[in-house]
Amino acid sequence: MSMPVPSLAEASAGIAAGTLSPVALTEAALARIAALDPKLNAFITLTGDRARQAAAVAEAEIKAGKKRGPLHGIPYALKDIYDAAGIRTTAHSKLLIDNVAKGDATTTAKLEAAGMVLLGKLSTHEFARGGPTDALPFPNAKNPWNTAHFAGGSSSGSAVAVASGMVGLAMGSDTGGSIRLPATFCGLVGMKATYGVISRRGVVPLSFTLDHAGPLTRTVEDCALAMQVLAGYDPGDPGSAREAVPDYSADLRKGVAGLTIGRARAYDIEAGVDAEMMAAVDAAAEKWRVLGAKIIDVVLPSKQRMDACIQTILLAEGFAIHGEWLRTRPQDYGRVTRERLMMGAFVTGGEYVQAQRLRRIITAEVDAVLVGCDAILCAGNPTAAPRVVDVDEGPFRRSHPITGPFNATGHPGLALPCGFGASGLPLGLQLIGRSYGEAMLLRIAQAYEQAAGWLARRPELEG
Amino acid sequence: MPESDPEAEFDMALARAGLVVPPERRAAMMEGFRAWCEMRKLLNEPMPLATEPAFALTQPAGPRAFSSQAESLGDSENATKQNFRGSSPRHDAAGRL
Repeated sequence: MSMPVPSLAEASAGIAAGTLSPVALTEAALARIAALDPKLNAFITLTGDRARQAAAVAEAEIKAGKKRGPLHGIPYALKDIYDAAGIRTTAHSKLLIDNVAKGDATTTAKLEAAGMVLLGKLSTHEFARGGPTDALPFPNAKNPWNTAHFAGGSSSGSAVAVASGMVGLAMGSDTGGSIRLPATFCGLVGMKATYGVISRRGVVPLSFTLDHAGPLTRTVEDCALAMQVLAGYDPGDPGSAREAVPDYSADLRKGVAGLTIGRARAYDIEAGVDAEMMAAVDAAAEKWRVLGAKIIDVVLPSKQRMDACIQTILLAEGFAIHGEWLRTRPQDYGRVTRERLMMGAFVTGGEYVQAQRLRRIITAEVDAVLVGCDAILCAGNPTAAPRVVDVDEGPFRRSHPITGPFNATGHPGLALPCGFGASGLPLGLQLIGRSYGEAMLLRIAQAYEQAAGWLARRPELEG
Repeated sequence: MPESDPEAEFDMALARAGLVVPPERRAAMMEGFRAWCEMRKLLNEPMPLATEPAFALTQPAGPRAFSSQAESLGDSENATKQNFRGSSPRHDAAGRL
């Protein structure tokens, strides 16, 4: 019988105290993967031998007094759009099936430099764009809370691996919600940091000005630990921001007394948030109020208007990347991916520029809302995870993700569990912060997480 | 103003892009296209003529950065990843966010 791996913070404390070894932790993670992955399909490529070697090196370094930091010797995994030297990066696609990375993505290099142990590469929707039932070279990941329900995407394998206790940290990417949606559906914390805070170099692109790299973890504290390693200017990423990296854990336990949270209820209503999700988000707002925060109503720009902005940019930029393959190798894409990318052929140059002009206006409007509050609160998705058979896999979705507008504005967004629905599936909320305000989001989230007590609940899995 | 013909625009855009939609998927793609046509109307809200796009291209102070992604994909053409830097109202003169 396998056990879920400890959180990053628990593992770090155990290694520091000498009660847990990197080798034992890595073996526990590999045992958990062996027990559960045949059912959950989180991994595309498992690098067990490499992980065992890295864990042994980490253990020797720590014993020799050469500890690199709090995450030294702890396993992690990568969405299979991140490069890791010598390992294939497939983007879950036949098109890149033999694409072996020559070097590390900047994020991979940072995690390796921190002494972390790579377990392997994780399932994704093809090129971070397809759907959960596409016929692809590898099986699609399944939600550990209920395998008949959607795990979210596109960082599906990342969320499944963390939620099922295979690993404490998985990297995802978020172009319209692909970190935050699977985090919500699988009961996790997912961070889409401010555009430019985490390097995208060495990560297969989908939309240059909307793509964000970021972590999925079980706890807020773990997210802060991961952010400390991941954030920072990278001259190899043309969109990277020259901003100082704060101490993400410094204010984690300061509480929310005196802070103001803007509840974007009208936005949730426009997005079609259902009754149980709305009640859970409202209850979270009430919890923060009891903890000392001031809760105010805020009005965001209309979602429909923001959707037009992000969808236009996403279609055009995705098509710029994939146009040639769509012409020459269309049969090598899954149907959902191919059709969604082909939609970009309908966007004119004028429409793309107009969307970028609208983006500037909308960003300023969201900035103005954030002048009056420390964070905006809205739902992480209109519902708990739908059944896989009910997921809209059409070329152009009938409704667009509640998360997407903040990819257009670049503001940081944090997905956080806020309860469970009648079906037993996780519910989640989203906190949106001021640019470079990740530490504030983590502080607000930490206060709720500790008071709410949802962390104790895990999916029921054999093994 | 002449009325647009969605069917003609649909076929023209695909032909211009060199794409082929299988007959059995035409209806679904057409439905997506019509939904997109509705959505794009929202892009044309009134705004000052001088409103500039967000994330405009700026000149870096040092050597221009290129993605190494193209190398790992074995495709030098992908190395021309555009150098997008911020220029929204939140950016300073140096293009920082």
